[in-house]
Amino acid sequence: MTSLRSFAALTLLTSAAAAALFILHLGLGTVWIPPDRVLLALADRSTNPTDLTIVRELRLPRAILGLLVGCMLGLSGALLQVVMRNRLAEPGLTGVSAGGILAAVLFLAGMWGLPPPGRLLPFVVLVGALAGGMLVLLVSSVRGRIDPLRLILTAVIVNAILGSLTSIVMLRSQQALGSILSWLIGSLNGRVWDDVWIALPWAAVGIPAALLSARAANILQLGDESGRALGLPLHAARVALFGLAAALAAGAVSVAGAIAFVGLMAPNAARAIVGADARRLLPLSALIGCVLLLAADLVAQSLSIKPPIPSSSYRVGLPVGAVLAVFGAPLLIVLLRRSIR
Amino acid sequence: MSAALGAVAAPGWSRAIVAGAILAVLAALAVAHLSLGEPRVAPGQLFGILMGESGERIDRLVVRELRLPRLILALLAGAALGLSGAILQFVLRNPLASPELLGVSAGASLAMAVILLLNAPVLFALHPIVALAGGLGGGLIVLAASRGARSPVEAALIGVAVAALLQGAILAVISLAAASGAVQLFFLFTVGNLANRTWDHVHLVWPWVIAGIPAAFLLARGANVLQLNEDVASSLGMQARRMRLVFIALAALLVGSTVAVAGPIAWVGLLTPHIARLIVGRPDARVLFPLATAIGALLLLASDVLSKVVLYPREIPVGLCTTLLAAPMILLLLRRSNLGLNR
Repeated sequence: MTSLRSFAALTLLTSAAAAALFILHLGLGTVWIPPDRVLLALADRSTNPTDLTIVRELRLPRAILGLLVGCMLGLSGALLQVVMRNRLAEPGLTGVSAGGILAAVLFLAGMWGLPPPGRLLPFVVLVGALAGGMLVLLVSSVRGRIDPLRLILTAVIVNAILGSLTSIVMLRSQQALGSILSWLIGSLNGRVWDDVWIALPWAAVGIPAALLSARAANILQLGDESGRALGLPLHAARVALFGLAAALAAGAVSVAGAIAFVGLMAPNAARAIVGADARRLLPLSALIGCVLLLAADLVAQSLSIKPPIPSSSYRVGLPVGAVLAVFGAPLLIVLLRRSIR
Repeated sequence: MSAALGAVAAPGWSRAIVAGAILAVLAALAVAHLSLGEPRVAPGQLFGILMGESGERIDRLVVRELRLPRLILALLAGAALGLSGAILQFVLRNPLASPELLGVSAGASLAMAVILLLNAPVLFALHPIVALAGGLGGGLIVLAASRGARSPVEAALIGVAVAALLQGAILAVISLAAASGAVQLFFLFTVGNLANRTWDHVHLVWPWVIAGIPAAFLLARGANVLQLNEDVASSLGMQARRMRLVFIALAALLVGSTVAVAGPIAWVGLLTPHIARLIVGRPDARVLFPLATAIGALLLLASDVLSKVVLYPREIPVGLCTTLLAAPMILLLLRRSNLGLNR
């Protein structure tokens, strides 16, 4: 447990890292724009009209989405870990993302004959996310008990089924590779302001709500006995936090697809630094989520601009989800090994 | 009822019944496989087309040059996957061990993606070797990372993590290097596909599979020894460890040759041995291995028939169908009998 002062310093440091990555992210692209010119363009004081267009119109939406999605996924993972009492829980490993995506793809393919989505999309994703998460919980519970590792194994298999259904729906509607990768792997390539407007309301409501739920999360972490003694309606609290986690994931998934491992890495890193107290764990998870997603998207983008592989004219660009899998999977192994010892 | 009881009492008879049933289903699936698709060929015409020159020219071409090689590939790949799953579960004594949960499929697929997309100068005939090397690499990483794992589920999840990492690398290679037509590549290297295969592909894999299957059958007695409890196996010392390595290499060879032509087809290798065990009951490799070989072929052929009809007349990658067919059954077995994890 860290003191209040060092926690404040830590928060400041992580925020500064996120801000620095944000500026770098805005500078990176086929045309490199140095940080000072990025800042001028952001402040609308740039005398260079190309800088203004590139930074404000083309790159800003993607960078903002990186911040929002990272934040939402970090918080969603942290809440799921509390609710499911499972350090390995995260939207991508609990059926939440996969369920949301299947719902989104079905909706977009017009299979229910509904009007084209836009701002409605996250609501559809939320329904799918709740259904996916509930399905995994139901299938993995044996006589009311859920073994933590079996939950994840079940989720992996359910994810595979939901992912296959998603692929079939997309093949049926003749989707291009770019959109298939976007949904199944998670990507921020080619995101525009419209996407920001889709995710923003969910972030604006979900993030503060998650931070305010720290007290309930702490009581849930204490276990059923003590929680009941403190007079919290435990079942209701658990359902509410699960819904909140699904809503945060839905906002993120609607614009970025099934980005996995941020929700696993951020809360576990935060827990290793500040411990289990949700009042500190939740904000730090959110900040670390931002840092991770922006950093991974920087890697994805810089590899896509100058591919290390001599390639043909047509490329889809490296999805950020693939980068996160490469960095996140070793952490999953470390966490599993720790639970072994 | 009394006939069924009699069959159980006389193992010779029950074996004949099981073998007959599998052959009958395989034959029915093969007929469906050859006749379905665009153009549709009536089952009655198939025999004539296969044997001689009867039938329309286009039908002959489609059946003999496209569907027959694909049918044979489905049988070979399914047999290889089913057998490799049985081998891995048996010698690692983990009911979750399988090519997809041990990083073998993903490793083989990454190796194939690298040589195919980077245009590495590798002879077509050597593709199975490349896939074998990749599969062994992936499998050994998982085995090393899960050393000392206390439960099979932990070991399997470590395999899932390694497979996720390898898949991230596959996606990086595809998205950075692929030309148009990348959708097919995505499905080939991450879910498995049997469409548009020719006799060349059959010739590429059959020697490996036809050599690997009898080798596994001949070594089955050794596998039974490995299945004994740890004390007995370790008293055999080096011999047991060497035997285990031979089996792992054999499984990787079977998987590698499959991945080289069809990509990492998932869940067949995990599910098949469990079905075989449900049928025979007792864990004897000499019975289990042949049965898993046959059931694997059946499962993949059924999935391939499904892949032709789901979005008829369009086809979908067969890996999507094996997932839809096998993964729910795995969940069901996991719930009902815990897949034998509590033994």
